[in-house]
Amino acid sequence: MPSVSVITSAFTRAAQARAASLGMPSVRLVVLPSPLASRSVTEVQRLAQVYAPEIIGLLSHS
Amino acid sequence: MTTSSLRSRRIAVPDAFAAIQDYYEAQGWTDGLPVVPATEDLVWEMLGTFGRDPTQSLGVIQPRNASVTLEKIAINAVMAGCRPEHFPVVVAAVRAILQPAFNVAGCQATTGGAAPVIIVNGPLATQLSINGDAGCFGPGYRANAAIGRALRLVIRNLAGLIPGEMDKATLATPGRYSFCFAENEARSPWEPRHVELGFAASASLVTLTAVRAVYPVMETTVATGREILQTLVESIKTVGFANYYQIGTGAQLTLVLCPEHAVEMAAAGLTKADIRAYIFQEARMPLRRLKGIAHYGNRNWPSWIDENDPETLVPVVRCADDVVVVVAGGDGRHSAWLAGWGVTRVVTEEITTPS
Repeated sequence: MPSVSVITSAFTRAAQARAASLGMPSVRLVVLPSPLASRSVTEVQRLAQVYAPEIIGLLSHS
Repeated sequence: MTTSSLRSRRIAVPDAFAAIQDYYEAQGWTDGLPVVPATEDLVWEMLGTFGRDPTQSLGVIQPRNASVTLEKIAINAVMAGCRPEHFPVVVAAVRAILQPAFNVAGCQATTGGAAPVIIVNGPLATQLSINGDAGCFGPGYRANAAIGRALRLVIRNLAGLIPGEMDKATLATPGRYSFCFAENEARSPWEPRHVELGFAASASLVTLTAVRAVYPVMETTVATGREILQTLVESIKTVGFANYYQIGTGAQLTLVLCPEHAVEMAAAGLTKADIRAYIFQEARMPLRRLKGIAHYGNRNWPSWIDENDPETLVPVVRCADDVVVVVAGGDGRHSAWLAGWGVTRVVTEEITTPS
């Protein structure tokens, strides 16, 4: 099943290490700017607009 | 006794203290302090009294997805400075953190940075000199220091939780070097935790909880056990304490009562169960003090929390049984509550020794 992990930049090393541990070193990552938790709903929606095409694109091309 | 051989790599380094320590450090296998070199004879000694096959696996630990064999645990126990007689406690602690409810990959990887805390009950605590009396959260006892350290080295080296990599703790806590103590059963007015849970008095038990901080409560003034308990409750009602937002995911609280406070509470007719119920009922914050700040954006509340009423009282745990009460420490009037990590459950494991 096509999949993509969406993370923030603070977790890039952690995500890569976890992917390697699970034998999936080439797992597809979409890296959002960090931090995310302190952003307003409007800002998060704006980010979603920006990154949605990349996420959909990765899911569409296995 | 098994005749298996050890599977781990043999590494040759110059036979000099500095060279050996530098090698361990360069590999990223330490907690920053020097370690005892895990030579083959010391690893066998650690395994020896346990009498089990070193290849036996207790399971797979996340997030590194690694098999946790007795051999690997023994190596880390040697490095931590354990005596062979400490090994069954270390193994029990590792079994405990492998229970899914402990969520080791969560509580040891998250920015929250909780320490795994080992509470030991039963006769083994005394036999192994695991301190539960004066200064039991601090240094000075090899069993406390080495057993707690061994667990953290297992987490670092087998779970792969290295700060800045898969361990994303913002601050973490000094408790992550080592945090192991015994319940002070000799000075407790109540039955010890393992008996409370239905184990025989002759059994020994580890309780594992993930703790973000120790909040000390100094109560030298009030006259009754009930008033002491009320002071503890007032201390728990703290803005920024994540438990209040995480009761839906099973956030728990551990209350460590010093013997003097415990005796006075018992004299007031309170049992451990009464204390748990009191904390659940009274350590509540009105929703208006929690709303819009701290961890509110990620709150996880059960449906019975009425979010439309600002005066709704939110408890610190979702039920009385989610409070753990133990007695520990020496003379003086200082108790503490340990702030749990909200998506980890307190787990227990009986300590098994070779027959």
